[in-house]
Amino acid sequence: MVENEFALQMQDITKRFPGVLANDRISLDCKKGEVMGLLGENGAGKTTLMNVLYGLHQPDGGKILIDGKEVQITSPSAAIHYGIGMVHQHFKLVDTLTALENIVLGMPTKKAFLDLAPARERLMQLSDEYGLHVDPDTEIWRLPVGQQQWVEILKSLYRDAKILVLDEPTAVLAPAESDQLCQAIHRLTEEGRSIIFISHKLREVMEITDRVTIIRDGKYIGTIQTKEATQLKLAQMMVGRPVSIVRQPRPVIEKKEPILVMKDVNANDDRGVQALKNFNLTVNAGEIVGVAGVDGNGQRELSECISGLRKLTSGSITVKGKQVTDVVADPSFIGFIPEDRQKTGLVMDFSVAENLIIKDYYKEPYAKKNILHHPVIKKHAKELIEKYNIKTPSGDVKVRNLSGGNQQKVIIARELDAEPVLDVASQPTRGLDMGAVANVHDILLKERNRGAAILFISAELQEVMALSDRIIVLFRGEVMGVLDGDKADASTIGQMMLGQSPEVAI
Amino acid sequence: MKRKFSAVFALILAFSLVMTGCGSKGASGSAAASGSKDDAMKGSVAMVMPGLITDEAFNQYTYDGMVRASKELGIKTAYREEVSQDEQVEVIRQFAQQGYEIIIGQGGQFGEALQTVAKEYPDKQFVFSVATDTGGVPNLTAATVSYSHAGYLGGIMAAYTTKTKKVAMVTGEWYDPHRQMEASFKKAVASVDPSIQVTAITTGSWSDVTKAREASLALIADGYDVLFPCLDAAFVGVLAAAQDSKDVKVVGAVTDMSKVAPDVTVGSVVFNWEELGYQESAGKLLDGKSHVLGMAENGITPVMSDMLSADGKAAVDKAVEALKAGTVEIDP
Amino acid sequence: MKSVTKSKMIRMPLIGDVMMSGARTVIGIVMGLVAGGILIALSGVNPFAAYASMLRGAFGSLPAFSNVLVRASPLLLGGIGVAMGIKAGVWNTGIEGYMYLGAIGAAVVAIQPLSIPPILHVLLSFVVGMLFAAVWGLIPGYLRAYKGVNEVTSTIMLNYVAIYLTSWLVSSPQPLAEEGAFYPMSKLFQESAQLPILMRGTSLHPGAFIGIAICLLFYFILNYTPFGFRTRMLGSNINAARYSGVDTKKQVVFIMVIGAILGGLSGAIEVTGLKHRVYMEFVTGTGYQSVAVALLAGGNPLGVILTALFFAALKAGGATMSIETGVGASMTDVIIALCVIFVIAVGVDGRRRMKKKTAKAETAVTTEGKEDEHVV
Repeated sequence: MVENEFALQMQDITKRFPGVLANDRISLDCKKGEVMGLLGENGAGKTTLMNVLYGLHQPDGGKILIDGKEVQITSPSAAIHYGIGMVHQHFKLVDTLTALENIVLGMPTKKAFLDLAPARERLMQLSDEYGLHVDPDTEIWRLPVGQQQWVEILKSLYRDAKILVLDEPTAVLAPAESDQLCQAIHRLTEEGRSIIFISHKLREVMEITDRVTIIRDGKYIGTIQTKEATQLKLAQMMVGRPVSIVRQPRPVIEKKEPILVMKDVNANDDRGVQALKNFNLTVNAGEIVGVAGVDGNGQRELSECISGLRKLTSGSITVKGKQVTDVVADPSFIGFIPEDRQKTGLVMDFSVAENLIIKDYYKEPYAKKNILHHPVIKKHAKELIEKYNIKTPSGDVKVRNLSGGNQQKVIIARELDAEPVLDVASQPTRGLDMGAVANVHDILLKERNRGAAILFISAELQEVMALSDRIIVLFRGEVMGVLDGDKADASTIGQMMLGQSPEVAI
Repeated sequence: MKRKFSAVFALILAFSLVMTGCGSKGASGSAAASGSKDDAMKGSVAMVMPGLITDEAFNQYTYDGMVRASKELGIKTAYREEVSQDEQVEVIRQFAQQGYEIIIGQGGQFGEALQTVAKEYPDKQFVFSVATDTGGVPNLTAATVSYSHAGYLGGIMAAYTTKTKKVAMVTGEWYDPHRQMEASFKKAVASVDPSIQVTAITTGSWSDVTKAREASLALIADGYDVLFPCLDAAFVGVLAAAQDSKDVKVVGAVTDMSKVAPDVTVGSVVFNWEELGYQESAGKLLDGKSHVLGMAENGITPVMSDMLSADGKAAVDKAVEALKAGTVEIDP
Repeated sequence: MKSVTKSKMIRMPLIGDVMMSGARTVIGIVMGLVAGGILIALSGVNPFAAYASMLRGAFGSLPAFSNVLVRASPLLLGGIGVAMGIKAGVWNTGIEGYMYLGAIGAAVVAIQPLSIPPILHVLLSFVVGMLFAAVWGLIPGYLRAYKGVNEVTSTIMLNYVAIYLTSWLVSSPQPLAEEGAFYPMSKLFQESAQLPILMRGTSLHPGAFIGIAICLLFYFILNYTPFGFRTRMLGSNINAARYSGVDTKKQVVFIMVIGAILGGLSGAIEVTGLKHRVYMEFVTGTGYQSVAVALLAGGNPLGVILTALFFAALKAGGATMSIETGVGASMTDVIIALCVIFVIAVGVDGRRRMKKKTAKAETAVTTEGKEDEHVV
């Protein structure tokens, strides 16, 4: 029999959820020794497709061929049996077990007692072979996130995966680790293994993959050779229309009054690891300072320090000369759009009206003499719903029932309506559709023109470049460089995001 | 949040189920003869109890006494077991409303409730059982067996048994009757030989066998060779400790312990709960006073085995006579 | 975004949900009663006669209904205490213990011959009772808020401590205890410290009315005050509460202590209203039943009124049922437990269905707005 060229073929996969067509006749194939990219925006259906492949969902239509033979993948163990390995975006590891134990976990064994010695040998051999070095005896929770990913990959390889699915693998990696991953991928494909590389980051896809399949809104858009693609082309296929994030003209604000001044700020993340190192930053009135950087390089901690949710270990932060450390941001002074809308920014079971006052509920006119005044609260909601064009039948509707873009509008209305001197917007467009993104951009620009100082944190380089007057690049809690928004180019910023310090800092 | 909910959910279920306790029959079987109501209710008795009528302790025996009275005298009876404290008044009142002429609250926790309802129903008779306090209510009578007499006889038996001259009383917790029992126990021991060392301890539980056993072993290690347990189910632990040790004897109280451990029991002072229940139900005590059933009233019965010396038996007989005559200076 | 989805944006109508949740509770109760009826039949009693007797015992006459009110008193106060916790996202399962502490506190004042008007004497007893309970509630509250100790565990453990502490305090020779008593109990309360009986020939004290008033008060507090807003925010999303500047730890302590105060008041009313003494083990399970009351009410103060009265009716009617028909006394508890289980079981099933419906509506509108895996 002629050996099949394709390790995997997924044909016309359809998956329906109640009310949603998550995958609509999507096809994806992957040759042996090939890196196949799977590109799509958040919510496009990438993860659903991969869950079908891994046996977590049963497709409503279409078929899956492994090595040219049609198979039914009814469970993850079936998937493993067919040589499919999956590294999820959120790792599925047992935190309190060691790396070695995690790798062996779930393996069938004939012995009554666990004998880890051969497993350890095999693991060491694997990690040497692919350059993914992990201490087998360290508990998972002690390992840096990057190494946790190595464990996930090694776990798949230990089970001799022929097809390895990596779901947004670089989101958690430092640049050096990304390089390591690239080398490992290279070695894996040399051996004839196949990689499916899921991402919504164009640059990575361009660098790593051989071919790319693009999906959008649960639909198959196309597959192209990476060599023949450009970032712009991929972006267009991904978002379905020419990318419209372009730098908009803006009035020059002459007055340069410093509003946010951060001096030698140090702060730790939740695990107690230093997240901001001797951080200095000044944001002036009428200026948008964009913070670029790979997620997890201190952006979250930066925004939380300014808004008083995180304690500094040293240094000072002033806004308009006022110390703001440890004081939770008051939207009449600092507007703060938090990174995680649903977990932090909103009370999902509260109504729109209530969410609009969750910072002011105890103040006049909403409360007088410790009694809430519902008519005032409702009127306030009605005004803001109109002003910010929040699509909801009334202020009494629970925020849970609004779309993501409208939820974000609720936060924006609450945080910015009192015209704060400083706006901190942390990933304000994450997960929003293009229309909603444009709306957020417009609002931030208006704020700038009003004279507010704006700190704009985003992982999307394009929008940082489109919006910012100045751009700082954050790498491992430090400022790698500061660039002029008008003159910055993507490749320079990209280099800085990866920790290389070019000499062009302004 | 969801996980937490289910955890608490499970917890609530567990509690609900614990609250249900074990299955038990509630009220008496003698069907209501609705025809000639006045006749049927003549001399009728209702008994409320904190525990189960199958507990092989005072709940069961006093209930048995009521059954005997019912058979002998042909009176109508009713009962409700496991009456919790918050429903005492309500339950007693309902029995009064139904026309029962004698209502007996079995146990010291019924005092307030009986007084309250007795004042509301002056034409009914109420009995506060295992207590001595009538609260001055004319139609409320108190009745119990004499813990003092029991302690005194136990003391005589213990004093004639000990070789090491160390005897100990073991009880669950200090309620007042047990204090009285301790006092008369000590008095009796001293009356035999003042040099005998007497102690009294509590285990903290009336029913925990292990606790009773460990406490007893500690006493035995300390040289005590006669133990005087006054416990509910936990007395088995005291017997076991005595059986596991050399030359340790037990003087029983409440029940005849020679039935459980004849090899170590020299004798017992038996509480005649059944007699108490009978006398209360038969309407013999209803005078608004406090009755303590001692030797003379058949409230306590001493039983002795051959292990008790002849001198000892003679001394017990003598003490019984003295108690009957009322010449011993202890509480009733 | 597609225009079709916009019409689906809102899940209407919310009143329907309320009706549904009410219907679920009723269905669960009916199923519990039917199952209880089968058990009654198995024990050889006609279940219809038994339930008729139960109904009579609860609602047959004014005195019968007064029994319901008397039994509802501790359930109302305990229930609202737990319900506040549920609204704030903490499980205050320590009502039993707070009741003991409240009773002890009340007894300390109530046994003293004070020459003050009865109303003041009673109120002073309440205040001291609530104070004792508040201090008691501070322990699990502090441990939960600042040390991360699970409040269910700590409150239940403290319940045992409270029970034994009370037993010790009312056994002679402690100063509170009655001397020469045949059962451990405190001294008799002064007449000026006893709650009035509202209806001759019954035990009806004002406890249930106080309880209902307090349920209404807390309904108001939850929905119409900044404090209530803060509490609900804490229970719905602790991150958002923190982000809004709420001192969440302090709020947790507050809520635990409020629950404790209500539990303490419940215990104080029980002893000043019913028997005018603190007996050893005067509460057996009422505190835990309060948790069931609050749970069945979904933490809603108005629901607490209904469920507490329902539980009380079952208990009072059950007592009559066992007296009149000879059904085992513990059958009442079995029926209560069955009702709780069925209501929760039906509720959980319904909740799951509702969640699916919500998810459907949500995914329809926010497909693009959510990460892939949320859609799943």
